[in-house]
Amino acid sequence: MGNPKGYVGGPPTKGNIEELLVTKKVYAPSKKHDVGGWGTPNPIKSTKEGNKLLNSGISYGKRVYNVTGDGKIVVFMPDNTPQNGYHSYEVTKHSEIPSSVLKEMYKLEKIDRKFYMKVIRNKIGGSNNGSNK
Amino acid sequence: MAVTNNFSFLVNRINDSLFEFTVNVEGKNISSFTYNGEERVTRWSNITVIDFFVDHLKDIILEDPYPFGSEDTIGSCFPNEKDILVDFDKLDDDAELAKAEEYMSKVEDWRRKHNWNFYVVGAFYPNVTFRRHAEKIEVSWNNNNLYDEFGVDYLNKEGCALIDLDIFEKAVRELIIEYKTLNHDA
Repeated sequence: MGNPKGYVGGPPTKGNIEELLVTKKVYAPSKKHDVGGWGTPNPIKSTKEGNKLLNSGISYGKRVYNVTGDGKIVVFMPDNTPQNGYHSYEVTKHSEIPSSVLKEMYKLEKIDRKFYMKVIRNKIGGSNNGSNK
Repeated sequence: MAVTNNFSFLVNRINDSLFEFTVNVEGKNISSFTYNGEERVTRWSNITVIDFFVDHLKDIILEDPYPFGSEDTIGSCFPNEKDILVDFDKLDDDAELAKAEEYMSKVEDWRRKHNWNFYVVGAFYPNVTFRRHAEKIEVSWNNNNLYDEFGVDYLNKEGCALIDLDIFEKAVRELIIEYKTLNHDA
């Protein structure tokens, strides 16, 4: 059996498959990102958008990555709740995005080649700190 | 580059759901930044650098050279231009892009073990890399433009220092114990 579309980071295990097929992920925004000045803001504007991005994203371990309509890369992190909630952050340092996820985003045309090249440059060290400059 | 044993991590509990975290090198707090004119340090609901050190302390303190770097870049505030072997102007070519992807993957494997960026997603942490050099650990930080799109301005932009291996390891172990104690007391 091949990997389910949008799953990278190694072959699916029995546990992964059960997680992917049985448990629906639920977008649950964190209040941590309502207050500025301590962390990256959550760029997702609605629960509907959050659920859509979460359930169409690219899984990497327990994380899920996707791109918002206005081109911001977001990562969803599990809350480890019975509701299977996930909160999200904007990824502001390209060095945080796994290479396999990045390649999959490019392959699925979530990002264009120009953006992909820019991220590669930043990830390798062109900006010297992996930030999105 | 400074050789110093004035090095520590500090974690404090602010309230039931918040911790504060600082890195001190040679008396400088490299976690300090200003936001709206107010001086701050890293503050978050969990200190995820703990997971980074639990997973990768062994990789930092054992010999694990940067896959493409040369020894002469040690102490030059990693990463150094000499370490970067990709011609970014040629990435329009598919073959060059494939080479860059392979290079990126190897660099990422190393960085995942020596820089905590992957672990600290969400919170404003300084950008710090750790690698062994002889009986020292090189600690280098580069906070230039880091989170500046959100109005953050780090007070210590960049630098590096060599720390005795045992001092570094002791600082990490004390951090892990202190954090677990604070969590246990909550």
